[in-house]
Amino acid sequence: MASASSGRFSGDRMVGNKAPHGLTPAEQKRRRKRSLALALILGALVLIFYVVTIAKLGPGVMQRPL
Amino acid sequence: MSNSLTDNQAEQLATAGLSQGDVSDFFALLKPRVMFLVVFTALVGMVVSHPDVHPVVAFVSLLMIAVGGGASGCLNMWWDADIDAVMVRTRKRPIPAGKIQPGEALAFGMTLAVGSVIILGLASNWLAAGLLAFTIFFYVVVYSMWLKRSTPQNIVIGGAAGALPPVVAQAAVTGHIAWDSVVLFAIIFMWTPPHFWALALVKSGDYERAGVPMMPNVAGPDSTRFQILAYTVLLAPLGLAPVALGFGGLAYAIIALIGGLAMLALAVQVYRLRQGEPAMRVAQQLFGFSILYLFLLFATLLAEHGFGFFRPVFG
Repeated sequence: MASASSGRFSGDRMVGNKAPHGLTPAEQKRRRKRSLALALILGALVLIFYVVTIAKLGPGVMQRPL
Repeated sequence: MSNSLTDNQAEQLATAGLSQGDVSDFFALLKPRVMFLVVFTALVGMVVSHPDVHPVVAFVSLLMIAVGGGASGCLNMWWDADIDAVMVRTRKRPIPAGKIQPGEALAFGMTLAVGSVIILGLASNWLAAGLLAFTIFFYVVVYSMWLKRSTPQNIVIGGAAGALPPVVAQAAVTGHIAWDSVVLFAIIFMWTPPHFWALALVKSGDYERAGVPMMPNVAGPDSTRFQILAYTVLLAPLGLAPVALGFGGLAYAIIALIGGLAMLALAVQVYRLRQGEPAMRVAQQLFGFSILYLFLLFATLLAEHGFGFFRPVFG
């Protein structure tokens, strides 16, 4: 019986743990690049929100009623 | 009956919805060359305003205008995938080439559109954000979905979307709209018909195959040539309007005068030469020079206001 967890695929698919989702090496590479680009964009967004907050509030960012 | 999945079923299940696109394919969806033009004209719209705003806010605003422009391009490609597939110029774009699914492009474009508008609003002000949202709406809904396939005036009216970035940029850094950005809007708006119709004269077969009613296919090449000349006659003096309003200096006046006369000379040639290879060649020349003309006008304003080269023409 074949199952999704067997990790055995035919043709040009990878065998074993290297390709548990049945992706070809090219698909894996593209997915890795997309994931990296997404991570960079998310990091840039964090940076943008942080820097814009500082730029707009200036020294006032440290002054708040306790 | 077994509940187990075969290898093939498991594979299909796992890869269902998996994008086949590379990062470069997603970047191509943003129309990088158009995005460059958007950034460039927006930057000039900011610089001529001499804003009293933190450079970080100006930079983020410019970035969001660029992303908004990219979102417009992406949504345009999603909508026009069917006609892109039959035009030689566009059939290698990511969606007709099968690298990216239409649904992916729609989600990508909408995310960028909404994100860029919200971040621009938070970073600068909501007037600028509203103008950016209007620009995206105008390009995608009014131009792409409505005008492009229904009227030969498509690029005339639709050109407003491409002309708005300097206005958005000025609103982002000053909080209001002044005459100088409106004049920049008018220059790009008036430049658009001669620029695109020159291309349409050369590529009329492509547009006809795709069923896009460009002016040469509907009104004929001769009428298009006359309209190119008419718009250029209006564009050349309009290019000098920044001088009259005082934000175009001596260098700008010289460039706008020589460039405007060169545009006029080429438009006259396009009007006169109507047959064969010379007619196609001069239309191609007008298309190419129109890009240089607009670039020089805006680059000169950038040099005058951004790098201290401004010398007043009057007084």
